[in-house]
Amino acid sequence: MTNKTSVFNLMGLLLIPVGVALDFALGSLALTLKLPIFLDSVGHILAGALGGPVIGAVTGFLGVMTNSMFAADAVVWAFQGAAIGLVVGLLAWTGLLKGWPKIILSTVIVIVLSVAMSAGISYVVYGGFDGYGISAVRAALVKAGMSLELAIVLTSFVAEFIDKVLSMAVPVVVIGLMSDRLLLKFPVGPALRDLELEPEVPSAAPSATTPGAGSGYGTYGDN
Amino acid sequence: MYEPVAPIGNAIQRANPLVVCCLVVCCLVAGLFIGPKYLLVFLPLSALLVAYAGYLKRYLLLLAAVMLPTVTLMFVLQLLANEGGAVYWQWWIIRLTEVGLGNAIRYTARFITIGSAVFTIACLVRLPRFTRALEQWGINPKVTYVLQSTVLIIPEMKKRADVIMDAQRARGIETDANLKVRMKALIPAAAPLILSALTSVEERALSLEARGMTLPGKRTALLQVPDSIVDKVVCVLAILACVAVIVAIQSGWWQP
Repeated sequence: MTNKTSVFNLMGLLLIPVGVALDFALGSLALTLKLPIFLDSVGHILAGALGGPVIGAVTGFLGVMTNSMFAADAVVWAFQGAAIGLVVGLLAWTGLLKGWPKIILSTVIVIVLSVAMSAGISYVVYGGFDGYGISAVRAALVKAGMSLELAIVLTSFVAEFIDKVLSMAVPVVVIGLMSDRLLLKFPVGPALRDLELEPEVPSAAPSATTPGAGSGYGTYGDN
Repeated sequence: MYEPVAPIGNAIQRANPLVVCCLVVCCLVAGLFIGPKYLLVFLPLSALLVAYAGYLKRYLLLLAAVMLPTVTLMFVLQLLANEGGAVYWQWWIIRLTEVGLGNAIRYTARFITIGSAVFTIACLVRLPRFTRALEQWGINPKVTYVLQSTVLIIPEMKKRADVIMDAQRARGIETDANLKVRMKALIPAAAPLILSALTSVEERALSLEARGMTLPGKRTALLQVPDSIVDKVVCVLAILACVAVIVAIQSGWWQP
């Protein structure tokens, strides 16, 4: 179930810059807390969960592209960001981000996708040694006799597992903290929680039939 | 025409930013197929263009500060981890081989090509002109607003993250203790940041709607980017040349 309004409404579109900025700010937060994780995908996972697949994919792509100003090699990972945003959007759209068993299944899907994309891009574009710290571990494993392909998948899994579990957990916790009113404003918001709609109260005011009623701020540009 | 983005001096600064992006991206894609030798042409050429536009110092600073550490690490790891062919030098478990050196040169050259293309675009293209050029080519103003606001929101969000961190420190959350304690500090720091960011989405939507963002009709723009048929022809020719290079290499007709 999703919001009846268009996915491309203003609230959905505005999730893109906010998601990109969150990717950046939370990446900085992880650095400030000296955590051994990136946390730079929380923004596009959240955008995908609230805005749907297209919003998630665009946020993921732009988020990584913006980070590439500080790490030029990150440009190629823009496709990974887009894929994660897209898949999280689809999972949210189909109701797979509602209830813990489904959330765990969704997290596993995101981790598998993330490992596959990360390992694939690293292998194809940079031959497996992409200049991140994890590449040194990869080199050590290869020197110890492990095949390059296995070393790439193994190290990608270790790095992505911790990062993506937290990157999925943070948006899920935050969505749980959101009020029903705020959640309903977003395109995929209604698919994230079982909402009990209040029964309609018959209004005594005749203004509901006046021309232009319902086209105020509450629509956010859906008309 | 009123051009509020200064300075608009020479030909590169006046050029349509979409054409600049298109040319650089086509050069980058072709370069990824041509191989390491291409860098010997692409790097000086991009430096020359950036120098002509007046941003050489910034470009070199970006290359040195952002790329040099990664390039060094990547080169060393490729050199040491890949083995095969003739052995050039050996000490203990470290062995420099023909395959290792070949891979080190190939992949670091690829990395530098990608990085220099990104920084060339960053130095030559100004976002307001870029988004305006997109609008002139028929892209929806909502999309261009998203691109512009992305860059504007980032410093604001970073500032908000710092304020929240300071506030949580003042409430006694430890950010310099062991890893377990620092992990525990993540949710109290991240949750208010994300929730306030999501609330701000609603506020932004309201203020944009109040300013007529969603109204249909043609907009009047103060900024006009030069856009001629020549620009479009240049873009099409660049894409065709790029495709021709890829086809020639893939079919074996040209072996650079």
